[in-house]
Amino acid sequence: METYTAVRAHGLITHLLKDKDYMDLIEERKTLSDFKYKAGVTFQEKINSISAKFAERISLLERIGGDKLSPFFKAYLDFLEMKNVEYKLRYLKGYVKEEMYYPYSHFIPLERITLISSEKDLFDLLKKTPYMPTVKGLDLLKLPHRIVEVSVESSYYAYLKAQAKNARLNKRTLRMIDLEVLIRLVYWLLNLNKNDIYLIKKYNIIDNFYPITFTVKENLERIIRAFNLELSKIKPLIRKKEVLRVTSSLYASLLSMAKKEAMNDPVSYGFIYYYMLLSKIEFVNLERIIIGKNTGLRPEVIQASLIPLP
Amino acid sequence: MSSLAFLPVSRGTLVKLRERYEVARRGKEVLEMRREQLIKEVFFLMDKLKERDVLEKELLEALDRVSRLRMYKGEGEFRSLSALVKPPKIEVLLTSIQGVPVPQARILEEPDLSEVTDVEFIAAYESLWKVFKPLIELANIEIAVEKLSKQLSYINRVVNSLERNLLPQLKDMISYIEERLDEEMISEFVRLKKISGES
Repeated sequence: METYTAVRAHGLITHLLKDKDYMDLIEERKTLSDFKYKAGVTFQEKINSISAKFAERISLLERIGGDKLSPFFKAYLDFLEMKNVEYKLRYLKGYVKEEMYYPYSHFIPLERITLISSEKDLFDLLKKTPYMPTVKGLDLLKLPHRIVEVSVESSYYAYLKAQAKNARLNKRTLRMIDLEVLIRLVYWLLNLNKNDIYLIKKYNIIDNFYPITFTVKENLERIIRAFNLELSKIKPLIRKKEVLRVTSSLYASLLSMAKKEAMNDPVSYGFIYYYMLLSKIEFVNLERIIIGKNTGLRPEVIQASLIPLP
Repeated sequence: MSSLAFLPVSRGTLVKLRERYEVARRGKEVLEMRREQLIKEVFFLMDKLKERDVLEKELLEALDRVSRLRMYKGEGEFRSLSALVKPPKIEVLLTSIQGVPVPQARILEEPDLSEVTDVEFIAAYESLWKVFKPLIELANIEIAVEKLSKQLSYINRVVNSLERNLLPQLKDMISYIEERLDEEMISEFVRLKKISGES
């Protein structure tokens, strides 16, 4: 199935948007509908159509991937559901009634997430899913909110890595997945305080973020080196806590590395992963374009925010 | 023509009219003094409104920063993070400035960002709040200027009405009655003279 899926990915990759398409969208020469997005008129409909397209693309891989690969594709897509769980946790903790989720569900129907009114009920529901935070000996309800969020992500990444391992992806592709997860670790390391980092280490929450294919702990310098990035360029951003620019640079670098892997062996897992990553980047970039246009940001600002395609 | 025209010409009316004139004149003086006070207060407050340009520029910069963050984060992420911000508590109280009731917004509680997990979100929100706080103060001044100006225009109308209508009318009427009374006194005197001459 690997070869067939990789060959299909070659065809599918041609449907992804290019730099010129992004410019056409930013400068309003074209609309999302021109790229076969079922975008409605409203802002919310446009945003929903972007995540729906991403889900549609990965779901297609899932259908053709066979018993071995499909669970991995599904797990990759479940990222959207994990984000929905994270959002629900914030809404439960927060002060705003209006909730917004990605129109995607796998383990938990979206309506159930929407209707939940307490953290306890949510954790009860999560018990049957891979997103259940596993913090032995601690009451989840008493943990600081940010630790719970990291725990949910940690559980999800354990699930993703397990599915990748079950799919028997090659080591190079597993390394790419490790790097993608490391980007989230960088995000958390830059956002959490020392005490929180101590807690996530103490309760092994951080472990699922660590790569399997190579050894790197929470040392930011070593992580950045793993992405083949120049430390001198990233360090000032880290000092200024410009987390989004750091993670965007890491994603751009990961994309280049994934492309290199894909080109080395065009009919391999590496190429399939490259396609998946490109789909995710398109999802992120399009959302930035739609929000940027909606908030009235200048075209050059929107363009600068996009993760560059290799 | 006012009701003054129908008053009987008598000494009693003259005394009453003089009293009314005096009250109106003193009232006008008091109102003019109050007008001066209010004008001083409005000018004092207007000076503070000069900060508006700087604040508006800062607000635009802060909003731009928030918009960029929203774009980078994505809509779901941004909205859910925003939900974690405990909104500030603002109370509107009716206070008195120079005796004029003016509603004033007071910040009872600052927004609480302790649950927010994202440092960039916190920084962007704090920069926005840093501009909003003086903007609330500015809004208080603006509403005070508006209310004081309304009061000023009311006082102006009353003073003008006193100055241009009531006081001249009273004055005219007093003069008229004085003249009529003088005439009546002269004719009475002439009549008495005639009667005393005939006898």
